[in-house]
Amino acid sequence: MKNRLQKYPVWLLKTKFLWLVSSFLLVSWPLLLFASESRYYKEAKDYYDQKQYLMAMLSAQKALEENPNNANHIFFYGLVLTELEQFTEAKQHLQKAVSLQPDNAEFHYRLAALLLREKIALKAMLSLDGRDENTLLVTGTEKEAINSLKKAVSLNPNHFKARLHLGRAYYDQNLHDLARQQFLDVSEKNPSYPWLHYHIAMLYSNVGNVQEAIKELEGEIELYPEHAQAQLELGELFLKVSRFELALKHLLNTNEREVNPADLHYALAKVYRNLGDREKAINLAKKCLKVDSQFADAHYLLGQIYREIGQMELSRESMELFQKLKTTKEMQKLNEFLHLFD
Amino acid sequence: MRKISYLFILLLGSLIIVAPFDPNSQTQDSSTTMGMNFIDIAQKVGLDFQHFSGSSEKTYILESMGGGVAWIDYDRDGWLDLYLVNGGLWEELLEGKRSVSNALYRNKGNGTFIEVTEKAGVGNDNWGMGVAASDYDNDGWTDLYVCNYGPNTLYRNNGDGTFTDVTNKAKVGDNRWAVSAAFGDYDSDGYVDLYVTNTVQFDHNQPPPMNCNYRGIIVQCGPFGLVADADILYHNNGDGTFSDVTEKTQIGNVKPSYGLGVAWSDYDNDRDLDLYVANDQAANFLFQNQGNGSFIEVGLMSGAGYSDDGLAQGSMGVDLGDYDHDGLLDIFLTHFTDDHNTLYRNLGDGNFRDVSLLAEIAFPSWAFLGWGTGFIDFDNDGWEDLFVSNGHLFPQVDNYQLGRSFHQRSQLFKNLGNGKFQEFMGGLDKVKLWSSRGAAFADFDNDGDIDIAVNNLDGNPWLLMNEGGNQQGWLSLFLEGVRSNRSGIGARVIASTSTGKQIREVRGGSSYQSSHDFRVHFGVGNTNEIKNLEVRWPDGSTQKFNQVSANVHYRLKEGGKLQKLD
Repeated sequence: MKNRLQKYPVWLLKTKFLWLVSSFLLVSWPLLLFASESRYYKEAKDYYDQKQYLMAMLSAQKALEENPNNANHIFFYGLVLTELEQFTEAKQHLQKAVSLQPDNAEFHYRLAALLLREKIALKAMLSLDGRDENTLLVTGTEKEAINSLKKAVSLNPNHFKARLHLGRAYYDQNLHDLARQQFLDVSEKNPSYPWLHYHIAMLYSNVGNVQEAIKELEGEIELYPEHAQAQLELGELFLKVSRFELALKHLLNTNEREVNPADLHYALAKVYRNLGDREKAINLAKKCLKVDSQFADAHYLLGQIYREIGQMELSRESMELFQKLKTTKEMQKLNEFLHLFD
Repeated sequence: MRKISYLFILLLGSLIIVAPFDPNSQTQDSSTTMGMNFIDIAQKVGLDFQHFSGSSEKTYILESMGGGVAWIDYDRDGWLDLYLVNGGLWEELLEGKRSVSNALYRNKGNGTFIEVTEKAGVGNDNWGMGVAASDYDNDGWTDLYVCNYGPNTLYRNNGDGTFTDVTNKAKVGDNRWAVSAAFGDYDSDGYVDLYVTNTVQFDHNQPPPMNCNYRGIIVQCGPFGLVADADILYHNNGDGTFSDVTEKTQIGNVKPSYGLGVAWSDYDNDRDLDLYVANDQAANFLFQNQGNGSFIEVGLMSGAGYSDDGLAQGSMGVDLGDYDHDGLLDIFLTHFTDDHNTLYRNLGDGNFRDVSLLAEIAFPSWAFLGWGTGFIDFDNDGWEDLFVSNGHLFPQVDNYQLGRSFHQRSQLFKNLGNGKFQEFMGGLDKVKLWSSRGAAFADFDNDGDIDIAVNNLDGNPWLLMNEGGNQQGWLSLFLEGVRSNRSGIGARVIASTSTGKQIREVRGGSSYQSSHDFRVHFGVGNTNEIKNLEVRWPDGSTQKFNQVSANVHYRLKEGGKLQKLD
């Protein structure tokens, strides 16, 4: 060996050595990287799956520190921040991930999902209703979300979740034909896709076609009996058309852990009231208020029922609470609305 | 499974081809009917009125609020005449001009009308809104009060086919934006007083910009966000003048709201007139008359201020009637679209409950935007039905597939007699669609069934003649007060019939911006006689009659005998 090596000049031997090391590194750096990223990244993902988002954030931060330009790490960190409702920072990270991998459909989809969540949070914060929306903030976010969703489906036409969200975003903007097209695209490939019929139902509901909305929700429930949101919506629609027994059936079938429990209890209270069972109505209204003491309508309902059964003092207390909450909410709405004229 | 998939795809695909949901085209089961039909004969009988209300885009809220209508027998010939309120043109408003006019049509008694506006002198100088009729000075001739954007106008009937503008003399020419008015003698002194609803503070020289949002569409702004103006209660001094008693009566204790509809009624059966005010996008007011010249607002605590969901709805029109024959007057309100019209059942003891869902009146109204309304027994079966005139606020909705349209058909709801209502077309699906506003009810042809006049925004009015409603028995009664106010406003008539005790009140304005036939009308089903008829006059006196023949128009002068009219 020594004799064979002695045939080559030292400088060449050194060069060769360096070349070998470089080659090795060139080939193996992703593996090395993976080996090092997978520890914190994997940890973060595990925490995320367990919904321990704070722990997930800490691990994801470490993963990011190690590999600050890793698109997957950046993306994942954005996801975690989304769950923690740190929308601004989450958006920055997801946007950065998109810029690093513009052909990643999932990245676009998740960015859109974040924007839609942000829109919902904005709406809730601004206490908007059908006639008094603040377009500037909300629709701006909505448009950005739509663009991201369009990108996601163009990169991956079989990204059904993205299509459903896109359809939903379209009908929120009254672009019903575009919404229908998205749902049709999903149904052509997978007519039993979860949430498909739900979203179609919401489209029908949006244009006031309650009967068709009911049929679609029934279809969704037939496919996915555990779909809690569909059960709740269907119960509320049956209540709207005065079919109280059917409303009761679906509301009782709703898993309260998977919906807003206050909404569920309130809807049930209303149904029982209309069925003449005041005791149950009162209990459920109270249950609603236990979950959300600021649920003004439940205070009102309670006040109404107490009045009917002659409990005037209790009625007065409930009505006063209702009025106080209502006034605060209306003042908030008015202040936000007046901002439009600035 | 594959077949089902293809079928499903075909069905879903058809969503794109098939027209979007159109509530105007919905029909109900035709196997059950009301035995009557409405036919629009307005053009045929000479009602050539054209309503004007600003631009077609409805940039400003003023342009959307429409006009009222009043039935008034101004010449006392026994045939009800029709007064229609007009709006205006925006450009003219800015210039301080008005080329459009309100219109008075005289009923010739032969099924036709003739316009007599100019001769009568009731054209009105301002952008008109609502109208209320009554004989405010008890001289035997019915007068008119017109609500305006700008000074309201009181026209005193001279008794010779002409009217005189006595606004200034009477001191009722408030300059704010009034929408509806109603006469009622709240202190039972024999002279009708006047309540006027005002909506927003609005300056046509500096109107709010059109940058509000309705379901993603840019539309006019208001009323929410604009400053509300207080309503006014005028006391009739009995000498041709009125005094503003808003503060004195404690009506003014409430925060100003966006008042659109108003009706006087004795909801608590204590023989004085209370007041219900329909407010847009705010809680409604129920003013309970304390009997001592003052009122207390009890809307919230009575349950009649908000919907069952605790919502302050967009209330437009109002009427009261005893739909379930329990001796207590219930309240019906019309509301904005994507919401339901509301029926409050009077539970007694001053309490109400929103029974819109129970009465099955909620869902059918969801796609419509209601305005004028009334409890009227259209088929004379002894149960008061409901009529609602509909029309959207924003013409922009026609450009989007929202399942909503600007022009909407009106609705008729038959009272089934079991606490529920069912919608019937009654010919309303065959009438040319407009965005309708004020609606007033009268037996204009004296044939024993109630007809309807509707003022349509930017359009021609409807005169919906009731065909077939008189197949069942009826009774009509015109009241003339002596100690009570001449028009008999506030009088209550109770008829014992086969369907139970029916209550009617004489009103000087209700619905939306409108005023009706003063005669009380009862449907009595297939009987020829009413067992008992009781008249409670506003002055506190009562008259009772037994075995009253049906299918007759009667007149009763206070304290006198029941007189059959030819």
